[in-house]
Amino acid sequence: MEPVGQRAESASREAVAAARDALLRAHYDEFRKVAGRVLNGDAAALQIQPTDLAHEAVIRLSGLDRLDFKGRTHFLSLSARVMRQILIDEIRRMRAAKRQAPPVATQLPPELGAQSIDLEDLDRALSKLELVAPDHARLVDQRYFAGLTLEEIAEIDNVSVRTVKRQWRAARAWLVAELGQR
Amino acid sequence: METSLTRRAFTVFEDALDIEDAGEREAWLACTCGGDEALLGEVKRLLRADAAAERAMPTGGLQPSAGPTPKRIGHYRIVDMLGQGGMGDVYIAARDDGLFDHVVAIKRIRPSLLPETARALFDRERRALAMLSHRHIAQLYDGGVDETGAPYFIMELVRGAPIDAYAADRDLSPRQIVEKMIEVCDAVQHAHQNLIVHADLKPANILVNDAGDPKVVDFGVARILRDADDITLHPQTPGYASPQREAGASPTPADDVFALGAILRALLTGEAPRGAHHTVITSEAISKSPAYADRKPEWRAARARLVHGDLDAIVERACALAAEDRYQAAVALAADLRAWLDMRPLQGRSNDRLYAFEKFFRRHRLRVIGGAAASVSLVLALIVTSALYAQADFARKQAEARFTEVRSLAKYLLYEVYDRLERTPQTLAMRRDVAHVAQGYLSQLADTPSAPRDVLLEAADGFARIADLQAGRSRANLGDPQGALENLDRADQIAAALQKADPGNSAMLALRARVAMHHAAIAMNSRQELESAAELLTQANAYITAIPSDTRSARLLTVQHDLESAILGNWKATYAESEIHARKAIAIIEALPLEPRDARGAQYLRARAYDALAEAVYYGQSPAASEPIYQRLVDITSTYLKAHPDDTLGQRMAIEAHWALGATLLGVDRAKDGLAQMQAAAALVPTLLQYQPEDAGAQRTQRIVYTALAQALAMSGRFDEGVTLLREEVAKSEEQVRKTNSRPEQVRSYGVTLAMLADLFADNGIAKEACPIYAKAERVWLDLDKRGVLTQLDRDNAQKMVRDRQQQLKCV
Repeated sequence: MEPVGQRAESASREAVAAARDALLRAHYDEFRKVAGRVLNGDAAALQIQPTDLAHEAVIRLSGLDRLDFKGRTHFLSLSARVMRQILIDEIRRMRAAKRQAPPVATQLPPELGAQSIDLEDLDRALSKLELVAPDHARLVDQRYFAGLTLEEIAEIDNVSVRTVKRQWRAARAWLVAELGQR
Repeated sequence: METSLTRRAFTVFEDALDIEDAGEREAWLACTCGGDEALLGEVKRLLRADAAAERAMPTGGLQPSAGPTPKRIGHYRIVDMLGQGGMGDVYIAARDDGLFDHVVAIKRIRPSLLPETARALFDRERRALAMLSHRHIAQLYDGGVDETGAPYFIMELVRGAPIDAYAADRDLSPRQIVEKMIEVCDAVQHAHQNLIVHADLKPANILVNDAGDPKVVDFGVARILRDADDITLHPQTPGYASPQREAGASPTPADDVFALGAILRALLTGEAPRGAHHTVITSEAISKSPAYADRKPEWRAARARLVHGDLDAIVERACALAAEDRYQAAVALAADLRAWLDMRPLQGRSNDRLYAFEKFFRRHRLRVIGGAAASVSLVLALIVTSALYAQADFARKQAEARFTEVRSLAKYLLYEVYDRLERTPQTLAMRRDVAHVAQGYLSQLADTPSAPRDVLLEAADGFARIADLQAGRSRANLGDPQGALENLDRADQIAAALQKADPGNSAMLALRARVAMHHAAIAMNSRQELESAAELLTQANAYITAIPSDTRSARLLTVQHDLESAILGNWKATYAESEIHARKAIAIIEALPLEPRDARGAQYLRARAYDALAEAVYYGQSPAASEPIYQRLVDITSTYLKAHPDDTLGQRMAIEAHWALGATLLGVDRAKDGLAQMQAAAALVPTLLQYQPEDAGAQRTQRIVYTALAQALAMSGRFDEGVTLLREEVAKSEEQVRKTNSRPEQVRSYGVTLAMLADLFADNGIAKEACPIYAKAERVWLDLDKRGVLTQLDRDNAQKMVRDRQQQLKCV
């Protein structure tokens, strides 16, 4: 890629990052509340899907009906990583607060083995992936924590669906291998 | 080092995906990696993992996989194929495991239509759909995923024809069509009340059986697939899809209403809608319909005349482009159709001039109000109003109708729907949704500037009710005390404003008393703010004393006030005071005649009052003195459980009562009696677990009860049985650890159970047995610590206790 193109790209990335930070500053507390609500539901329901959080957050924050389709996916994409962080923070906080709090499990999709795993294990694996391949890790966040489809991600990130699919398969294969090792 | 290896492996891996032939790929990899064994190894590891993941669920899109007809699905043998569609195939199947004879339809969805992320959704929806039971809905029995990964539904087999073919074959009159559509509307309404939208209503999905009963099939199936899909593979059939659905919005009840209108029109005109929204009104379309081209002109004119006017208006309203202009619910559409039926001169009396004349006038009125009728009650109310009045008052009535509807919806959701869900296991997410939706309705009501007083009071009552769902003690609440406090404040604000105008209003006072007491309960039980709880209770008492004391509601409020005061006393260790309050509460409630409607709540209050009394006596006087009170508590809860064996609240109350009495008896050296109580408690645990298998609270109850039972056995001289019981628990827990590949919480539970067993030996002076088990438990905690998953709390308590006891026993 040419240097000019690179600069333009990094400038637009910065703009996106700034927008995201502003958004998250405005909504962080609200996110935490939502995460807490999801987690404190019942003594019963400590099996949760991360997308529950994402979708509930969207509904509560912006009124799903008032956001157009594009707005919704953008919002979800921007906050995917933060969703994970908040969920994990809340899990840790809850565990410290409750005496007998069990780990919070999540059901992985069949392609990742369909097993029920500890959300914190998943978080650890993703944090590890983040160090070596941040783009791939982000893709998993978008897909799993924000519930976006590959097509939606491709559109938001302005890359081809084919590229996203290839990256997704790489990230997925790595996760399957990583989680299978435990 | 590892970083760049993974990244390089990703690059090679992604390129390798383009090479499909295995041999070719192998050669390319060897060449590309150029002797870098580490890189080659990593890429191969990824490719293996990818192959496994692809087998589980391909990334690729549509693969039309007609495939051979399966021989069996689940417990059913495939008898014949019913049809093939875009979603998959439909089969006739018979159950042949000898249990019972049952012929069903099985719809098998192409696996590619239900991608990876949608499985959980599929299961959840399937369970919701199976709960739908209505005469005019084809019952969904079960479903699952077959060995090829294809999801399937097992449903009632309807032998019949799609409603459009049925209407054409039998040459149904408009009247007969309307009769059928009313039944369909009832079915759709029933589903909406269960929070299920059909999302793909069309004649092909409404089958009429030989008895003439319409049955709606495929409820919610379209929604599952749509939500599951990356791309919308199954947009609703054009012509039956509302503009909103066409634009890609999520399906709502209003879209089903649109489809119902379009179906009615199609049946009346004899032709399917052509793509977009119709432009010709129904009666005109009848005159021009090619389906009726070979009929006599008089026949066509008669049919058009019958439809002209009211039915035209009904179709237009149902199919209005803007969702808010449509009938607000299927029941409203059905109401207008019923009104049309009622006001039509009946066939047999059409020659009776006077009768027809009268009908004509009533029909005329219907036409005036036809557009405004949004609810059944409104239709009935307006029929007696004059046409002029209705016209002038049109706008106001319409607003009121919407208002009425919001009111009834909020009530319906908060009471009937919620209560039903609460009695169904594993409905947490749905209950949360219901509370959320109801909250929205209530805010709408409370914020309406012109809302009359009774509506505001109702809204305030609703907020208090939501608070109860969020944090009430008499239920498996949503666990949201913060949200509850906000709603309580909101309820109190509304009530306070209303009270200014009418200080002595009993309903208002009762509401404020309830709110204050609930607030106090949260303050003392979740926040330990005993002083503010005391203030709130004083405030509540002031409200209660202002209500005429001879009413039933005043008496129940007094009971509750005394109960909360007793509990507060137990927190503050002022046991004598606590005892007085508890006794007063019991005295009042035992004097009340129990109506069945209130029985559950009153019984619960009574049980809690006895519990509070027993606790006050236990600590304030002596454990022995509390025994007869706990005995009474056991009697009350057992009687209740016998009458309501399915009530999980009752199950819990009974278990806790047995346990409390048992523990008290053990404490006063009546081991044998204590043992009997622990056994009774343990006997109830499996039922509770069956109802709430994933409930952490139920599992905790089980652990507490089993440990106490083992102790009781040991104290009754049946030490060996206690040991056997706990050894079994240890073995079960060990099995869980093995099965879950050492999941931390299972390992933790194993450690706790081991320690319980060791405690039993240690308490009975058998250090020789206790020490090695403690050592084992300690290894468990160390293992968790090494993996970085030992919580501080376990470190401070469980781990420390194991160490301390080893020291006490002088284990080596």
